[in-house]
Amino acid sequence: MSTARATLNRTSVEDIITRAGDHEHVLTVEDLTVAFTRRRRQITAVRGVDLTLTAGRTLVLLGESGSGKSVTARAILRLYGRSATIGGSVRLGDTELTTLDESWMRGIRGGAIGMVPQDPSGSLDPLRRVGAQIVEVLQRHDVEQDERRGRAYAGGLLERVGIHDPGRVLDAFPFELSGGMRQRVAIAIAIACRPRVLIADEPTTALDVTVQAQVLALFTELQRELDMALLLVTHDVGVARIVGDDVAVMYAGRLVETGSVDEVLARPAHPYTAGLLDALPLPGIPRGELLAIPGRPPGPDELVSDHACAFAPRCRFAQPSCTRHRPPLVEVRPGRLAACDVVGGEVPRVAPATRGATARTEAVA
Amino acid sequence: MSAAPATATAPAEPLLVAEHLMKRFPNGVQAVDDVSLTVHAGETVGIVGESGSGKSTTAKLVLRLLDADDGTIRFAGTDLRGLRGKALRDVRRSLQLVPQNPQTSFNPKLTIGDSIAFNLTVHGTRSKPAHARAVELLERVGVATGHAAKHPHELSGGQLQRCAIARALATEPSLVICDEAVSALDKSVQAQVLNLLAELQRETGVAFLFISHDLAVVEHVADRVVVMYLGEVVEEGDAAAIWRAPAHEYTRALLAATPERLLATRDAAAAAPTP
Repeated sequence: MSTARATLNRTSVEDIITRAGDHEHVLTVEDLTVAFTRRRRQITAVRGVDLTLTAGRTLVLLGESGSGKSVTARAILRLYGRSATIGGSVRLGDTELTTLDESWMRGIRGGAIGMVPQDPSGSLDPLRRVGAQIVEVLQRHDVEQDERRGRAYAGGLLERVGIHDPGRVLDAFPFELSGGMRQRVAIAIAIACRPRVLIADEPTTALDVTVQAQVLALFTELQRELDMALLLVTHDVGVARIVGDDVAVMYAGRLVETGSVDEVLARPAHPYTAGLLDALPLPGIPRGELLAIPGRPPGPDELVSDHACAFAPRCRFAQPSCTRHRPPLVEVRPGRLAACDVVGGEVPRVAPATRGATARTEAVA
Repeated sequence: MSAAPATATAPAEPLLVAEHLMKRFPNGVQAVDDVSLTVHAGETVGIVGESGSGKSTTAKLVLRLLDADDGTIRFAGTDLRGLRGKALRDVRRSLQLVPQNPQTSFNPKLTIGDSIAFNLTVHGTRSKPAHARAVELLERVGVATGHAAKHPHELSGGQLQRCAIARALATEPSLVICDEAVSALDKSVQAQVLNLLAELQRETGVAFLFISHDLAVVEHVADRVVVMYLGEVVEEGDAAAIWRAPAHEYTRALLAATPERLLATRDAAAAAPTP
């Protein structure tokens, strides 16, 4: 990239980012579809997803493997390049990202939109010291061109993400750090340019549970401090509960339910969400009597009909009509959308949603 | 529900008694430091801990996949540490493993049926009856018997983990070590596999040593729980009691951090104590 071009782009990108700040909905995803071609066959991983990210709020994208949640997150940043066909619209403020020039997009990635991957050992360069990797990001996004000042800035970032000895970590190679520390470094890099939007793809899945709790608390703190919109992708309803304001549940490439986390987890409106909650091994449930969802989510190679509910084969409430017609995502209660026309807005639960709650509350005390 | 066959007999010697196990790796890490545990016939004992706690190393010591530096392991009345060659192989018929990742624990070149049958032929069963038994087992664990002719990459993680369970049960073991056996599965599929393990235990009276980082899962499956931290046992006891009233600070930290617990108490996230 020539210097002249980089400067030009930087100004324009800065302009985009500034304008994004004027919008309440920082990032709007509309009717997003993502398709890959594999062995000459089209595989549609994401089919018509709508998401709205708001500054200072966390949207959790919840789903199991193959649901299309990570593909959605990566497609927002156009990380698939030409290997995916992307349809629909992704807007940062009022700027359409799906058609934005690639050189501008580079300024958006890591600039306006930060990303924290699942496995930081895969995103950090194993051959370079942590400090150099952070300084590079600062230089590329013109936060700090001077190497020494950049290093000081990087040290501050590391402190900000809860690393108590930034000097040592700046000089360390990624392999010298624990998984939790590496993830903190990845978070420091993601927030280095004070992004408007932070996308985190299963950021704590590879971590031990006690470390997970600390890292999730860090996300919440940083989000408030920087007034970012956070999109957090996870398969774990517990994680959704801790960090989420709103949740969008995905199944087989589509949203099946959206709403506030508190509402959705307490009164799910889609049988799949209810099934996920009921399958958890909560205390007090006799051994061997978990309410498992039968079957499994459709694999990437399986054809999912556009004219049937994809969850119907596993659904306790399925009616013959479910396989002939795909229920649209509609408002079932104020602020709640669900794609099921059988259960009528609230899934009748086999066991009360609060089962086992007494035992848990006792133990916390 | 039928009574567990194993509990019918008078209190006998425990199935597995491991005492004062020690293992130090060449890099100087004391991976297992004076660990003792007991598993009775037909029961499930959980080992819970985070990465680096020594739980998997303990399993490997019991399976004799690693040799302990010190300590004793008695399994069904035999001193395991003294066994070698054929004698060790014979004991392993009764002592099986369901590993974490079935994608890597099945030979990619063999069919599922061949892999399961191999666990029988290696112990002297002829090929034909071994294959017939493999198909029976697949049916029992809820995998379409047609999958016997398929290769591991053609099956989903959940199906493959069922196959791994079928393979472990082929030799009619008295103890199966499940090392993070459900950790890689989606939650909706995890519940199916946990239910299957409980069913198989009721039917066959097999004992499980169930290793997991997930305290909620362990509380659900186990009668007794051993909590490990940095190679040592920091707490052990009745699973439900530990869930209600964890004695050790580390157990409390683990417990507070379980998603299931956090579902109930959102603010616990910030308050979670650090070990």
